[in-house]
Amino acid sequence: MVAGALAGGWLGGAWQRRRALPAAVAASSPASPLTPSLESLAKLSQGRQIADQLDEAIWLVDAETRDLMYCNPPAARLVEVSENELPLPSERWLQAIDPDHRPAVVSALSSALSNDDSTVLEFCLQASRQTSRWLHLRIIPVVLFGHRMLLGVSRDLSELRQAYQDVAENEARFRTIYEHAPLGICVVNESDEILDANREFCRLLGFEEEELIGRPMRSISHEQDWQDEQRLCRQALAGGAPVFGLEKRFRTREGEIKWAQVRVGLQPGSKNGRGSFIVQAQDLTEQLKAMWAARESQRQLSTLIGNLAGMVYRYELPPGDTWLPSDPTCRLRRMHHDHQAEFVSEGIRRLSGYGSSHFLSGNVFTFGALILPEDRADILRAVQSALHESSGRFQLVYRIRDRAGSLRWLSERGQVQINEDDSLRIEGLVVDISAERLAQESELVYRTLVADTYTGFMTMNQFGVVVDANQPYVSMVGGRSRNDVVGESIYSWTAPDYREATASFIQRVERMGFVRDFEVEYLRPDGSRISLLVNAVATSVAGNLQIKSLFFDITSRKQSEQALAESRNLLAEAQRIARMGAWRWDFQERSLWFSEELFRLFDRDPRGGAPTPDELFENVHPEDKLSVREAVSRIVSHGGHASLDVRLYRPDGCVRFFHVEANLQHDRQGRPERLIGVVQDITQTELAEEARRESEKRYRALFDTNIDGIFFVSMDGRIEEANPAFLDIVGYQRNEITGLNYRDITPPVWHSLDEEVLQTRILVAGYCESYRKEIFCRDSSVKPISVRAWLVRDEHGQPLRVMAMLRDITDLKRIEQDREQLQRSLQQAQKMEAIGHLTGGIAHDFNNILTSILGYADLAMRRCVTEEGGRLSNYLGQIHTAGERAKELIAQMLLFSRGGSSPGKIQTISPLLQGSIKMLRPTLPASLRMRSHISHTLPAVLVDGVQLQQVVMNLVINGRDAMGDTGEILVVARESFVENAVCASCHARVHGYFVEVAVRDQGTGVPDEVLARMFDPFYTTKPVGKGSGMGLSVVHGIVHEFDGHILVTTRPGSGTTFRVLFPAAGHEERALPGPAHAACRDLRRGQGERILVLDDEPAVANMVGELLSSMGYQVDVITDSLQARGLLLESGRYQALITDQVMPGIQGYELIRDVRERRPDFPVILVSAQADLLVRQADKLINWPVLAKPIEPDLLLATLREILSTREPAMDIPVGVGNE
Amino acid sequence: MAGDSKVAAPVLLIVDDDPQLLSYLIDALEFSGYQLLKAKNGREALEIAAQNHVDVLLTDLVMPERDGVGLIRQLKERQPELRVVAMSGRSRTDLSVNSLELVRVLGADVVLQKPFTIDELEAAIGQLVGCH
Repeated sequence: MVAGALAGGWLGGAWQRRRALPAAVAASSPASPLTPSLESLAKLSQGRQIADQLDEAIWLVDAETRDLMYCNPPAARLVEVSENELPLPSERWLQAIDPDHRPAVVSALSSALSNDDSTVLEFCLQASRQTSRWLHLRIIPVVLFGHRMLLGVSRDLSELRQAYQDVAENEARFRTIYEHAPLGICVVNESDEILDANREFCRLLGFEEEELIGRPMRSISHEQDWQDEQRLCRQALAGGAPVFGLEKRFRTREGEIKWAQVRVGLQPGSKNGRGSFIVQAQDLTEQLKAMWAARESQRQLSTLIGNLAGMVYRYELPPGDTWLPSDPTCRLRRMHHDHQAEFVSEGIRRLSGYGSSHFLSGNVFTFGALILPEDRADILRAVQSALHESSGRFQLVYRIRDRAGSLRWLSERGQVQINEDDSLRIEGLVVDISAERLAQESELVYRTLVADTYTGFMTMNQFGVVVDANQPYVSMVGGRSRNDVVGESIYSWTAPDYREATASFIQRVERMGFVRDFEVEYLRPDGSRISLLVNAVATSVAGNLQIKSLFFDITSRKQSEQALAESRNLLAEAQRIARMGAWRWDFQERSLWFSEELFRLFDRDPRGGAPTPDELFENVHPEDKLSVREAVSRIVSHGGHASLDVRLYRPDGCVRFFHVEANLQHDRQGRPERLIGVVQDITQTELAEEARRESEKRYRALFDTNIDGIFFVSMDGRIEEANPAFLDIVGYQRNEITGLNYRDITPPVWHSLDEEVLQTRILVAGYCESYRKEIFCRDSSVKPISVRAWLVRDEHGQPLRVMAMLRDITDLKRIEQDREQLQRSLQQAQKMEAIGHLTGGIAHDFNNILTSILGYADLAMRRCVTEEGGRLSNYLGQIHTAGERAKELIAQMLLFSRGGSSPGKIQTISPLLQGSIKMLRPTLPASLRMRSHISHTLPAVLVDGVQLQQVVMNLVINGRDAMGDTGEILVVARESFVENAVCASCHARVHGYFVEVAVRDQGTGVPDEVLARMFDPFYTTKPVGKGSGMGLSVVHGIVHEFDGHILVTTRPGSGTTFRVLFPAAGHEERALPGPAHAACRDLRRGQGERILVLDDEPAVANMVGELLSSMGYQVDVITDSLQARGLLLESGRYQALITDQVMPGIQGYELIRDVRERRPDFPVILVSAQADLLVRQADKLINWPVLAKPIEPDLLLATLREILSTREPAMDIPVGVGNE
Repeated sequence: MAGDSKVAAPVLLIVDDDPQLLSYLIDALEFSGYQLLKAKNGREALEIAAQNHVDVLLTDLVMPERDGVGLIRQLKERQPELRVVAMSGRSRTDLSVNSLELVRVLGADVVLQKPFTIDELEAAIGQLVGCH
């Protein structure tokens, strides 16, 4: 009862309703499997209580009916069912599930049941009821009260799914923040590669995102800062601080420097020295700029306050052409005043007459342009050295020319410093010190005045009127007292040719304040002239300009100077003409003196002065330095004179040759005092000499390395010189060849030709075209060579020697011979084929005729038997015999033409030969002996037995006829290796292993002219009627039919040997397959492919056509090769071509070549009687099958199938083929 | 008797473009007991064969208009039990194509090489008629 109540409590009313069992019955029959034990019921009750309180939805489904028996409150909410509706039929509760997911749930239930194991699935509830709730359901098969049930435990996944979605949204939000943060953020891996970068980071550096990704951080960082950052990164990876900050300079895409505050954090999960960093960068550039600007204005202000007088300036020189921070010497390349100033105070107007705007950025005009050229170097040097000092301070005094053209003395105090961005800042103050300078100058003037009573002194106004003068000046102008000059114009005594210069002198003094070293000449009353040197200073007295001048009499100096100048000019002129300069080297002063011309010769600026001896020595060509040093030490230690040739580098880098003469001079104590000498430019002659040496060298190289042998022969034939190539050719050593006579190394047979060439060509035309001859080598062998020769004449035009070039043409000759060989072979093959055609052509008609003749003779004889008189019968018999002979002849001709082709078989020929010899012996006269050596271990060969016997027979009969009545015929059969022989009948080259059948006679031998033609059909040397002329032709036909060859050796008077060679079957498998079996035949059927058959012989073409169409091909038969070419080139309808080789129009080979040019893999078969030849001759040129005539139908079909299938291995076989 | 033999006599169609040879073949087989039909080329032979029953075809291989090879194939297609004796003159054509093999492929039963004797001819035909 309790149990029943409990059971009912667990399953609710559903159980009773479902089972239709009263609770009491269930409870009262404890033996029933449906009756749970008290203990289990207690558990069950507990279970239900627990289940009711669980958050997970619990379901219990009947395994059989799938009715929902129980569900706890969460489950009930999900399917919207109340307890009293239970059991709920499966179709009802299934409706709570999304229709798409129902089958999955059903099958999961089944599989849990059938596997008796729990199953898990996720599914979605019907969307209309619950907004797409996802459930995770575990189905567990259980047995409750001995009944199989399925317990479902489900978890609502909706929230989890929501969480995932939230994560995704968070990620997206983070991404948005990351992307739009005002902070530059990027991710860098441990190998400095940028993995990701946000927009701000890209903007900061001016890159596109894709440009940054993958780029090394280094490439966008200031090198120093990058290294700092790297060090910190490495520390972080090694376990140091995982987050660090630094101020860092980035380099933007445009190369600008951007300051940024950077925070770098090692990403979690990084270890083992690997990991990535998140770099956050805050742009500090603007901030820093503001800071600098503030400092700037402060600095400017203080500068201004401190230096109110004069001009204040500032230059900002970017790193680059002016200066390079990386340059260790830190060298300034240009003066700061040559740049556009960043700032110039208005005080510059007082200094220069130009407003500050003239010197600020944007104007071409720089302050440096005003500075006197001679002062510039000092300025640069001073600033340069300040750059290396910590204070960076410098002080300058220099001169400028102001706007009015006046000279001004300026003093500058400045400071140079290197900015954060590596630019150079120079600022300073410039004040005018001209007044102080002038005061110094005038002081100087007065001091001079006092010191030197010979100096004239005069003061005048700007118009040249003398205000004051001392006595020396009065004397200078030729006056007696001051009154003679004061108040007078200086122009009155200035020499007329100096008046203009004097006027401009006064202007210059006015403008510049002073003039030095002005030269002037005065004309004195006595007519004499006086030369004066004038220094003048402008002074201002009561607002009026006064010019105070000092005068020095330089008349005598002038005169001596003039004389000296004249003599110098003369000397210089002489030196210039001789391209000769004078020099002097004072040991004491360690200096050199150069004459003017020497400066010119050395291409030096005379104003720069002569170089020091060391400097000059630097310019000596390295190869000459030693000899210069030696010459100097020799002359210094031994005295006397030295002369040597020296190469010197001029400033422009080119080398010139000088001849130097030197003399040592001693001082009074006898010590070497100096060297004096002259230098002459001998470059021209030296260059010519060098060119000669160079050409000699070049010629020598050519001579020694030439691949042609070159040698010189004196006019009497003596070999004077020979190059290595020549020695190689003749095999002599160099010392052996010289002295030999040209005739010694020339076979005598060529002497007359050489002599003729010498007399008629070389001596007449000066050279000869190349001609061929031979030469003896050291080992007495003879080599074929080709020679060309030139005559070498002496300076009087007399023949001196002959230069000859020779080339070893052994290889060339062999190639030529090969070519001729091939040519002959081809001709022979063509001749044989032509004869074959001829024979074949007449054979048909002839056989028709013979059939009639023999047949009618036969018919007539049958009648004759009944008639009387044997005579008619005899006549008919004669006709028959003649007919039979004709039949034989035709048969032989056909045999030659390979008409009687028999496939032959692979066999050992020894027994066949034994048989033939036995058969032949009786046919020979008794006086002839016949011997044989037949090897019994011969490899098998492919041959037709009857035809082989015919070959032996023909050769033996030939031998017999060559010998007459006595002698011996030897038949030998053996294995032999043949090397580079030539077939006597087809002229092809023969090489390899063969089975040889040789027939040797002791006859008269075969003369050359016969040798060439003896295999031709109908060619005979026998009297008319004694031979058909077909014997050897038949031998040729048969032997070649089986890929054999014939070698002939003959000596007039001592017999001839015919060696018939058959390829040993083991060495060369015959490619032709045997006759096809009927079964195979079907494999060779076509599949409707369209084939073009070309043969100029209609019957042949038709036959092939018939064959192919009978085998399922579509065939077009054509007899005109040109027409065929047109068809093939214009239309793509043909899938293969079968063509004859020899045709009128174009030949098969050319046709194929043309077609293949357009369609490279077009399948073709070439048919030719020269098949063997073609294959052998050009197996590299021909890459298509060549079939021999006569065409074997089976072979043709097989080949056709093969070429069609190899061309289209991947092609689909057309539908419907299977139906055929 | 003669009538019987006529009815029973196998029909032999002789084809050759050489008129002399054709008339020789007729003469040679005159008394052989076959019914003889003749044609001077393949085209004519096809026409005759279309109108007459033929047991044995005796044909040359190389002829203008329709050569023997084509003729054999065409007639054999029409009448597979037809027996064929092909005569080879071993002309250039025959030398180019292995005609003996070819005619066997196409259905000739016997190939006779010219020149042949009357005995050889009769034996060849006799053999075919016999197995017929």
